[in-house]
Amino acid sequence: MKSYDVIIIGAGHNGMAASIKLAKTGRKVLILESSSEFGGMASSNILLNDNVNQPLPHLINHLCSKSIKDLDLIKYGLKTKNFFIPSISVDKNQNYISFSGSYGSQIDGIDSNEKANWEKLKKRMFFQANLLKKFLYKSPINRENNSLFDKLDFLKTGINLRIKGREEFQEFFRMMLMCVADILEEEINNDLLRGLLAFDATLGINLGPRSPTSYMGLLYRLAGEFNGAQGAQIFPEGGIPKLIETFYKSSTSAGVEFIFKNEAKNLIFENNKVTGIKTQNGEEFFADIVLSSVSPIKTFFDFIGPQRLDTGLLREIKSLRYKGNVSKLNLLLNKIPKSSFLSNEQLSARITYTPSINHVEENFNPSKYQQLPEDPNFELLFPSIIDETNINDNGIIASIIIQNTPYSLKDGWDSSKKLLYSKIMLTLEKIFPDIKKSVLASKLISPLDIETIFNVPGGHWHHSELQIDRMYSLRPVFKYSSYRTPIHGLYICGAGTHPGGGISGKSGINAANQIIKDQKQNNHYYEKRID
Amino acid sequence: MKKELIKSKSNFNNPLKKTPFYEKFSSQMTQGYWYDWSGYKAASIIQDQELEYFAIRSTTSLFDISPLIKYRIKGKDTEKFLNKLTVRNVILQKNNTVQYTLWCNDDGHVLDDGTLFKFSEFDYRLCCQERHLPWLLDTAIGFDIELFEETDLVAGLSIQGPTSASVLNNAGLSIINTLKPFDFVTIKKNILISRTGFTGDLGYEIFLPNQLANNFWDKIWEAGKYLGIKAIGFNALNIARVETGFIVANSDFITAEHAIRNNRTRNPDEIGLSWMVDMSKPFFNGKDAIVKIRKNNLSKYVFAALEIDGKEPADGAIIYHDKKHEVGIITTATWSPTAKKSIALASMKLPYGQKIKSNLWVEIYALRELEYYKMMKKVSIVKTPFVKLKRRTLTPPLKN
Repeated sequence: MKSYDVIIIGAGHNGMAASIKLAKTGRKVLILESSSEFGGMASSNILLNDNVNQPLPHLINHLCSKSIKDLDLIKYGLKTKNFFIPSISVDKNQNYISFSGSYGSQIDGIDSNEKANWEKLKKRMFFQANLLKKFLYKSPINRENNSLFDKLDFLKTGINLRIKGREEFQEFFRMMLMCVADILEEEINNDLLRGLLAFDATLGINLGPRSPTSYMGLLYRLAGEFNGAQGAQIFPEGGIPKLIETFYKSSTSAGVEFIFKNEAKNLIFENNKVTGIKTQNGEEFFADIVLSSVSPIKTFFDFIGPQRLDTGLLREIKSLRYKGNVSKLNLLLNKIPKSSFLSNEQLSARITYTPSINHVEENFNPSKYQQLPEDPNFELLFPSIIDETNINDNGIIASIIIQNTPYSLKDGWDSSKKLLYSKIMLTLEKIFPDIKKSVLASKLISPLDIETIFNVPGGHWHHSELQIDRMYSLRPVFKYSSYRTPIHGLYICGAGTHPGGGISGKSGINAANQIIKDQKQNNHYYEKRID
Repeated sequence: MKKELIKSKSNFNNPLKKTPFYEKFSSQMTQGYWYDWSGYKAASIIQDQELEYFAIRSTTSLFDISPLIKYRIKGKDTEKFLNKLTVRNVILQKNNTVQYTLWCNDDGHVLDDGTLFKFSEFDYRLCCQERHLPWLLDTAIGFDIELFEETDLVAGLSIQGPTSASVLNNAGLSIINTLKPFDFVTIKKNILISRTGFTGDLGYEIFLPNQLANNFWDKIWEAGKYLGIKAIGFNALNIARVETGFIVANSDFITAEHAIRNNRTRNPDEIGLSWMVDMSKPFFNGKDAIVKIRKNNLSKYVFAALEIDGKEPADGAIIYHDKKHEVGIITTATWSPTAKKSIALASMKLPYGQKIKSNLWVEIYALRELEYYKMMKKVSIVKTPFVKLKRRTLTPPLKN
């Protein structure tokens, strides 16, 4: 009989983050992973060919300095030399603007009037994002965690907002739930700039720039920081795989045990208390605490099971929207592509094909009817151009994230992949005329593939929709936003919990803190708890 | 789609539905007191409320229970499903018996109460006041069962009173003589007879396919001709049920899905039904919440049965402690012709009604020819039933 203090399901970065926190307190921790690799959705098991692979995500903007410190990532190899990646928004007629620094601190390609407009809008957006930032990385305040100390943040935020004056105060509440398109059209004129911001606001969620609350998506992005740089998008040295490796190294050094290729299948519980995990191949592992870092859909439906869920909760979980709409295209090129209008230096930017707000909105429209967009928006990154340490002999990787490609397609994904690929290539050729000839290998991963490869129902990058109705203490559902579940001793973390997707490690850290706090307060905490 | 829309729209405008026994009751109706019971036209009074009450207590009464909402649950996981849905353990229920039960939402608040008829471990019927199909279907997720509503397919007739067993014997249904309270038997043509009722008296309830209703009525009526058989409306039944201490959803407590205000919902302990909750079951809807409610003493109300001085009906009256502080409300009150007392069911704010049981008063406003008479009457807390009848449980049943 193998016993642990804590068993964590899934070796994603959040699972590993939690394991580090827990193991550092002396707890004996086991991580069970179904695949052969650590990293979860950021693992690099998407092969382009036998020697080359490229993970799903390619940039980070949510790894805050406190998490880096908490998890000892620098000690285990996270380089301080990281690349701030500028964005270049292009259209098909060789127009572009370039957007660099911490979210557009420098901006080229627009006139001085527009620059002033942008500065004004940026200042306001950053002010608002800063207010929200307080809440982004902490455990949500809810019915269980609502001490005066916790609530103080609300008070502070309110005061900070109010002392900015009546105008900012009113603007905050006016803008909060607006669609991003209206705000952009009020403040700035440049189509490419608007297009880029509209894209950033809606990437990864099922909203178009004209959908109400889509502005929140932009604030969420701007509230993020990497090691203190707010709103910055970062390419960590060595790429995402290197970053994930630091999580793994920190975790193993803290004494965490990993078992790969052994999928957690059933929860063992008695009298409403979890006692362990039974795996696919019949092995049993025992622990008082089980932390599931997989999608909440899976945790609630597969591990706990609908039979054991109160009907009201079951309804809520069932109503979570968890169908993804982002696809990934990885290309292997035989040489650095030559652009007809971008310089070679500019190829180390994030290149977004985002001509205008309407273009992004038109992209979103067909997704409502399970169709692919006519002319898809995407962002493109050349990891090996950005970072020399990333170069390999097999070729140049192009990592492309495509928006608005719904999980369920009317025509099915099998027949649609080729079409989507050719649409992307058509746009790419406008930027890089010779690119088609230099493709050595390509792999298109649809949300459906993400579901299969990474064991995430719906293939959603955030496990479930990260919209305002499912943020903060409403994530995944209000009653269980403290990383707990109805089963005593079973906890949840991962993208489906606050603060959501992106590589932040925060939900793992928060869940670990909750576990430590619960066990410290009372071993039978649950019996006392009121909710 | 469009056709359905028109149909559903016209349903809204249509008169109330008629039960299979409608012609029988309406032909005796002299008063015209009808009310809406779950979309059916149901009688409050047929001819005379007092005479109808005394038919329940002295002879035999016939009451139409066809509008009861009935769900049929069949299949492999039926018991597992019902054990999640309801607070009692259905595995302990014997075949061919009826169980009074209730079910809660996630917060441990009561959604409804009802009766559960067990045909076998794979086949049950659930009868209740309110419609619950969405809740039942969502609760059924993950269970291998078949669930459908059979309200419109099954007619129901309640035969209650001291001569009811004799009436049924006269009608050739001597099979009922062996039925103990809460037993039922299914005879040919799919007619179900249970020894149940809402009166606290000797009595039976019959469930049968709609098309048999008319003939069955005729047979019973004929058999009861010299045994004082009488068609009754709800008002008479209501007096009998208060005498027995039975509560009615949305009259004595507000069901969780009806309550608009947060503090109007009630957990089983607050409506006097804590005895039903089987905490030894590993799980049921609302168990987690009820565990917490009990551990932390979170119940705020208690159900109370009251006897009130005088003979004024105290419906809706406020209960006071020391004639000063409001401590509760009377949910249903009546003059009990059998106990010869003014009696009431009430919801009281703890600790009143539990720790503090004395110095309680009700304020009654009696309207007499456009003038109010305001009275402060002393009340005492008693145990239910107000009226206990030996013949209710006697087996074989009393015959005349």
